Amino acid sequence: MRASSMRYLMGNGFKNLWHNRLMTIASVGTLVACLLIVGVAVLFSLNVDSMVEYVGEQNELVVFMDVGTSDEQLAQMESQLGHVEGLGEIDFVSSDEAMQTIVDRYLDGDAGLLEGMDDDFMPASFRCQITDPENAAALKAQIEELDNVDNVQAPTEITDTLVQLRHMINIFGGAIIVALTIVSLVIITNTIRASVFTRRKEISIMKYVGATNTFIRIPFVVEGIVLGLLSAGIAFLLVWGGYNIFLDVIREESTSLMANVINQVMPFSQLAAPVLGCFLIAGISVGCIGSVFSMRGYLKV
Amino acid sequence: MIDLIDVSFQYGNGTEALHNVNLRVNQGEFAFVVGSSGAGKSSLLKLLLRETVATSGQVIVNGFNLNKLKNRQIPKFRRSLGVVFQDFRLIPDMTVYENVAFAMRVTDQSNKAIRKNVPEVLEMMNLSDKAKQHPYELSGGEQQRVSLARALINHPPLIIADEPTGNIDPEFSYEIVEMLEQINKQAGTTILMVTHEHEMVKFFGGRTINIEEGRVVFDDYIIGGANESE
Repeated sequence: MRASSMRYLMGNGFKNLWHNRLMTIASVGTLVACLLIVGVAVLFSLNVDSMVEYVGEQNELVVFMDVGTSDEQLAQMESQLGHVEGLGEIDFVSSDEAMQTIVDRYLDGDAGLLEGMDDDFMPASFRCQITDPENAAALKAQIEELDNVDNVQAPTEITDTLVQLRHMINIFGGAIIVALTIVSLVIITNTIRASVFTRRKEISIMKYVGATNTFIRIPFVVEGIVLGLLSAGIAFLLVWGGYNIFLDVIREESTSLMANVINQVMPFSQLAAPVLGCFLIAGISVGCIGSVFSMRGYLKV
Repeated sequence: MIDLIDVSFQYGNGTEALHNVNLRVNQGEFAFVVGSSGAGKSSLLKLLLRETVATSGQVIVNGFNLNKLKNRQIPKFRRSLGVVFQDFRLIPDMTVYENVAFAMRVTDQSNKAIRKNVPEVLEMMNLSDKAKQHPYELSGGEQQRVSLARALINHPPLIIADEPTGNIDPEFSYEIVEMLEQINKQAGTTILMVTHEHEMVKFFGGRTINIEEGRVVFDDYIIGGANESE
């Protein structure tokens, strides 16, 4: 195809947009709204992911052994734990070390109060990191079954909440994205169908003088892509501004307890590329597919 | 040029529009196709333009076997003919010049060729001074000349005219047919003109194909001038 033809066809696409400018504005508005909702869902889900990861990093199982477990049994336990899938680094804390910690932390280093106690007054323990916080509860149950284990401590509550939240967001987010994709497709298809309809006479003449289907389609595909790109750009700017305002608000409002979690909220600079990428891909593909849909039936003859 | 061999055409509902039609129009011929409405003229045109495919028999136009033509080859085939319609089919928001140039633009031709060919063909159709006007500013006859210019712009070897005088005042009708005859004589373009105006056919004379009830009932040369007294 000649460059001059391409310019002509693209020009026609822009002309279509301008010719039906009310429809253009209406559909860009709707698409922006759809992309905003998707954007908020994606941002929310990315942040919850990052929080789950953060909490997970802080997360460890502490396996307390029965008092009086022999060194041999402890060594055996260590190797057993080494084979459990889903555990990261394993630290062994012996009875003596545990005792020392208590002395240092609570008794100002004065061991006098504990005189007369057995050496293994404190149980030996293993501090195990968990690679995936979603497995915490299952691991806890699994390890409790092992010999000589007194009990397993795992702060699973926060993790559970976050993991559940993540599941819900993924399900709802997925549903929202599917629904809004359909809405966007319908909107774009309708808009382009309107300009296909205004140009039906031209299309029929094009068919009679021997224009190829590609030639006939290009202006409408251009129209669809421009609609998508325009909406993606506007939605991106709105999400950017909105996200920063949201961050400012929660930083001011948050208590020191929540501060650690809040700090895990990702800065927009880190999210800009994926969000913009998603918006552009969504915009362009919805635009293309919509325009191809709207041409159906007009390419015959 | 045009070759129909035992062509029958049935609509989806079973109505037979054409029955065993044999027809041959050679390069450089000028032929009228006449017949009452519903006789099968439009079906014939649809077959010749490859809007539909014959139910049986062979349709060959400009060397293209239309029965076997693949969808992607249709544009190439359509570029080998020019079509003129009763209702002109001009694009209202384009000027005369743009309407003619449109046929070149959408078939991927260079700006240079467009700038050269469009004024030439407008000159030939006596439309040079109307180039910047819009179709609604023109008379029916002038509009049909624009549509004829558009059909001629890609120098097709065959022009198919579907009732080209149907929407035009009688005094201009004859002018259109004269132009078609001129094109036929000068450029050797084959012309097939469908019409129901028997008086006009008698006036001009020439090869006349009469279709009735889906069959060719008459196909011969008639002598023109019958209406010279008028």
